[in-house]
Amino acid sequence: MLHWNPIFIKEIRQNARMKKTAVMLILYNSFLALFGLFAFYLTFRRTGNTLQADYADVLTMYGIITGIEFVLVLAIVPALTATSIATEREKQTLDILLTTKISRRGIILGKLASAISIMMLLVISSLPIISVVFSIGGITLGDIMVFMFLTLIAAIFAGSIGMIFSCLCKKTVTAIVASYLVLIALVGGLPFLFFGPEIVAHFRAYGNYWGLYYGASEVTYQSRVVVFILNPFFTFLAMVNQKFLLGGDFFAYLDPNKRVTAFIAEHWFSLSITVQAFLSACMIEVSSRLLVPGDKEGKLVKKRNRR
Amino acid sequence: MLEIKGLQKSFHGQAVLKDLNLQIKDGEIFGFIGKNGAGKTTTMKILAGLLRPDNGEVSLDGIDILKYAAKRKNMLGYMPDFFGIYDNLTVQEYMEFYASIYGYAGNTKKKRIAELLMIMNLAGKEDQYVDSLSRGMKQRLCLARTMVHKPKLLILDEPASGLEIRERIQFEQIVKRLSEENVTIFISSHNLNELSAICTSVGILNEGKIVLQGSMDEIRNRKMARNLIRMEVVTELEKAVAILKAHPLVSNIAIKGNNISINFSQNNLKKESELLSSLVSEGVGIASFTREESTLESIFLQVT
Ligand SMILES: Nc1ncnc2c1ncn2[C@@H]1O[C@H](COP(=O)(O)OP(=O)(O)OP(=O)(O)O)[C@@H](O)[C@H]1O
Ligand SMILES: [Mg+2]
Repeated sequence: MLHWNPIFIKEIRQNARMKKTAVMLILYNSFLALFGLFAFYLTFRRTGNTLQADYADVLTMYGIITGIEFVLVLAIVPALTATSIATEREKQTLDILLTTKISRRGIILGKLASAISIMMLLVISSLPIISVVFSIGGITLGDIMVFMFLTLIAAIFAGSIGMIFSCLCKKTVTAIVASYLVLIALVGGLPFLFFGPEIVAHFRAYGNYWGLYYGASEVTYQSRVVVFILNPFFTFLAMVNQKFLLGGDFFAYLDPNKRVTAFIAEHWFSLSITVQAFLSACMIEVSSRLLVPGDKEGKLVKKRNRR
Repeated sequence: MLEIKGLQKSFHGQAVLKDLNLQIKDGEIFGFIGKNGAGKTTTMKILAGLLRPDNGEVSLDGIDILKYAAKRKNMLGYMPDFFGIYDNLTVQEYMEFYASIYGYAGNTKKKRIAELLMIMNLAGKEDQYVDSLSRGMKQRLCLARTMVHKPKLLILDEPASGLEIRERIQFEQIVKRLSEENVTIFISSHNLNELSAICTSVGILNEGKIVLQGSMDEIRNRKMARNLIRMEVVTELEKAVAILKAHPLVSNIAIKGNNISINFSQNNLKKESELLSSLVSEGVGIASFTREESTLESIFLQVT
């Protein structure tokens, strides 16, 4: 459906001509390459001239690079979608669109798809950097495909959050700020909100936070941990953990007493992806309901933009 | 046939449209006239489905277009009082965008766009960026955009304002040509004169109601009904005044030197000529006898 959505085609055309897109591509890849080099250095510095590296270290490197890439995606997509409708509103072209035959859902989907496509362009353009790890071995094409798929879902999820606010807020800036707040709360704040006391206890006992993900904790997180299924970064950790780091079920570390059914624990990755995809669909639907004509400031904005 | 019945709309308790009724026949160019803030844009937005009225009905060819959005979108083209164009798109791409919204594809799309750009005098501009066009061209491009799906009703919100005279004339010619293809055109303006050249009928909106509606001819006749007759009397001035005073249809006699102006309260050419001949037969020497046409502007001022 996306390839014939006129909004999508239009956005792609406009984006391709914007300097912003080129600048973003360059910055994104430079940033990633820098971190890649750094990870490379960390992995190989111990080995000196022989260039021998621990097999596990290479996998860690893959985890770090894709992790950075993943966080970048989560950071960029909401900005792209949050501006999409608000811009159309500011230029007053939204009113025109709403009098034409295109459906509200069509507008939302077209806008979302174009943001995602920019995102995928970034991810694909960075493949050479990721595949540095290939040269060492240990990562399969399948792993990269899984990562790309996960990134796609996360991009849609984060993008839909931005989309809702783009429809709700009359100003681009408000829309961006609101989407980031929600996303930060979801990715960063949620763990603290639900597990504040446990995390503090863990921190007191071990002096770090990182161990939380690696099961060093004796703190019981109980079934509340299931709320993390909403957190795209946990989905990512689940992928990395299962495949590369500890080879085991990362969820078991969070819930050692197996309060949560084994089924959820076992299928964490696919379940969280399904939940996030479903929520995205809901948010897209809500966005299209929120897509109403006009602007709150009414006359003020109108007079400014008038012929 | 566009029919608006009992349309009402208020903003924050302030009534903008109180009881708007209109009937516009197919193929008309209807001038929708009103002062700034009279509610023209509000009415047009309601027709275009961008605002919900508090009350009232709108039907186009018997179809309730407020209720049936899909039908409305197919039948109606709306050009707001701003351009609403995108940066970074060429004329061709801009048109393709709207054409694909209406399901045009491939060669049919290309043909339709070429046809429209031709009508709008924009042929040859296909590869120019939209934001580099002149105001008049942008205007015509927007008009092309609203026409892409061959709507039955075209709503143009103050299309003539801000255009220089040459571009306005060009725009008017295009609008006229469009109406020949049986498109009903609904144009707003705050200036009755501005539209008199192209409109076939006119409605004047004041305080939320239509205070005067009719064909352009009817409006012109009404113009005569309000006429002042001015005459220059060279001899027998007093006699002339006496005759005029005695005449039942004459009022407001004003004398300034040799010039007399009267209000002849009936729009009746025969009575007018009888008055003239009676003056002449009484020996009054008359050098000139003319109806002074009140301008469209003064009609507008009278009814609003
Ligand atoms: N969204 C809105 N909220 C509040 N008041 C509004 C809104 N839109 C219009 N109005 C008010 O309704 C009245 C009519 O506005 P409208 O834009 O329809 O007038 P108009 O006849 O188009 O005037 P103009 O010649 O300035 O275009 C104005 O007093 C305006 O302030
Ligand atoms: Mg207006």
